[in-house]
Amino acid sequence: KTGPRLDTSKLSTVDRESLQQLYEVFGNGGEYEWALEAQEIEDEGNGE
Amino acid sequence: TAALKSQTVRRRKTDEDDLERMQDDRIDALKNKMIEAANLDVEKNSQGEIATEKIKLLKEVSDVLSKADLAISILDNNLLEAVRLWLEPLPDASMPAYQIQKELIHSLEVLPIKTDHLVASGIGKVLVFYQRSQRTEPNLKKIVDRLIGDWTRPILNKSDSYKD
Repeated sequence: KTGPRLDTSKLSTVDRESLQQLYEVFGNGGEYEWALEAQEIEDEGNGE
Repeated sequence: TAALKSQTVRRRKTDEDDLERMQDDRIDALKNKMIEAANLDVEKNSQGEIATEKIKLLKEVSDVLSKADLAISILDNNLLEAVRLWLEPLPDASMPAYQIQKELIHSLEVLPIKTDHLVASGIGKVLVFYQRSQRTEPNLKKIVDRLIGDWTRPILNKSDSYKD
């Protein structure tokens, strides 16, 4: 499953503090996962 | 004239403080109305009714968000927290009315938002949701992508080890 759209290859050298701040600002991708999943299920159903 | 001058300066300072307080009060009152509207819409949506409270208040919200002289007060009083609530998906996973998405996301482009404001409001998290959702209107998604990039850069630039 896709996580937050961050380019992790660029993050490999970023220090811990910056990474922590990125999570504080953008979350871990799980915050609205329930809605994304529900939308996908509903939209797939409509497409068929 | 020195006495007169100092009096004038003091007067001006008082006026500025008053103005600042009035702006803070105005933003605070709007924030409360926005939170109330968001909560009512969540309730309506979960009962299968159409959410109409936010859209009724949208013009007032847009007017305030577009005023450059209110920008500092908007950010300092964390009005972005209410903006985040307005952009959040409703209980049935639907997004708020497109007009709401459009006007609020556009307003984020002109505010001088710093990392601290993002942490306090959680607005970045909801924009990641818009970035990932297939339902986000393409032109709006472009703005969302740009905002997320703009907000990411200063965090990464703080790190000396980061090389582009």
